[in-house]
Amino acid sequence: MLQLVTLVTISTFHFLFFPSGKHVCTLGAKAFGAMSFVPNSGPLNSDQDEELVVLDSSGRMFHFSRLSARLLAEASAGGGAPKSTLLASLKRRMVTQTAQLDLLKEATEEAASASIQLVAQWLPTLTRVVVLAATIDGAATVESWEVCMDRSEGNASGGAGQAQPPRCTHRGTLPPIEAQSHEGTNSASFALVPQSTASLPFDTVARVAGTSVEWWAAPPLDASAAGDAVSSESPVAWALAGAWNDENGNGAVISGLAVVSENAVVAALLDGTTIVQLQAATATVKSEEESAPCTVAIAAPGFRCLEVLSLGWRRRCTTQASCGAPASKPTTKTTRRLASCGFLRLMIPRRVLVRS
Amino acid sequence: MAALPISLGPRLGAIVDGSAVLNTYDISDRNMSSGPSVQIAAPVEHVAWSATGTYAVVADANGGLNFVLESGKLLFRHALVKVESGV
Repeated sequence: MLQLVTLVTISTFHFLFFPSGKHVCTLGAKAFGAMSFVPNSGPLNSDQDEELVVLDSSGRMFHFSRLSARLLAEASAGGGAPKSTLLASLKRRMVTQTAQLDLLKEATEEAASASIQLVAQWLPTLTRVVVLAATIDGAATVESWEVCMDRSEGNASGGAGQAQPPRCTHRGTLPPIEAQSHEGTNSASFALVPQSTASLPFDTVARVAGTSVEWWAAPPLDASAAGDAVSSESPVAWALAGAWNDENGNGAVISGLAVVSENAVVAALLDGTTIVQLQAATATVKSEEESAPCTVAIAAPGFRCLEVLSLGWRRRCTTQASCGAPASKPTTKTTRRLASCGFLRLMIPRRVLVRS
Repeated sequence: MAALPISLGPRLGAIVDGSAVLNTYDISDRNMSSGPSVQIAAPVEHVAWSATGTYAVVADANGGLNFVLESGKLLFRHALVKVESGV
């Protein structure tokens, strides 16, 4: 407690009297829009360098290269080179701004009322990142950037202060949300769906707004290639994309989309660019004693469960991830009451489920 | 009702609450006991685990990137973004 009080006191003092740069920091202001690590393509070990892409809320993109877990560990342990030297080495590897998403810049300057949503995701090719930036102003205009960075080039460009322009970019727009057919046009949410196998030609951008889920191949975002919209009975809150193992345990990885509505979680499976099945209400989240879900996530490959957090309670919902199969009965297990809506247990590893 | 910052690493899940405390949980622990935690000096906006799972990067609302080790130790904070005044 003493340490916490000390930390808060020091931080507050520093914040009040030593603001960085010419700008005044504002507590509660949105500083970052999104960030994503670049997965390593080789076997994971502590010596692997890693890369990180960060977007701030004004659309500036930063690329961090050669983040070494080994150096971080050494700096923490104080072994090897002096800690100050190691930290200085790490900071030198942080590249400055590499791109500017113009739409976001314009949005922050001219459309103060517009909310901004960013989705950044490294694709399974491990050579590029797709950034989907959208302003939610009733029309849900979208700026899509495809930023291509070769891994070897990225590693070689780690000099501090060296601006690295994106190798290739693409801008597209999604058709505006039809306000008359949706509720809450300011609640659109987007998700990037990764490829599940190499045979799938497209990655997918999904948009949920009101009660509909729409998707497009990305990039480019071709409005004419939009799939048929699927609907939920109640307004949807989020779309989250991911990949998980199928229910039969054969190890197949399936890309899919989870949509959270006010009182249900639905999972949409993707076959190429087509949602082949929408499992409505695989789990009823809302009940008399529970409020709407706070958040939800889909597992990385190797996991098969989807968990949803309601305010105060956690429920585990098993997703059925095979096309045409009957909807699985949700496995609901309330394990403990939570003090606040701030906890999400993600996925249960298959090996744990097998043991049980 | 905004989505909360979360991130899943190969071994740990990162969960953030409104008071900007980062908790790490062993994803193989069915009892979901809390792992080490760290206090970030500003509200957390994003969390991302490294692919190796040995550290996480926590973006805070004051424009800082906090490098947090698996052990829950805050290694250092890198000021990246100058947050514009809301005035």
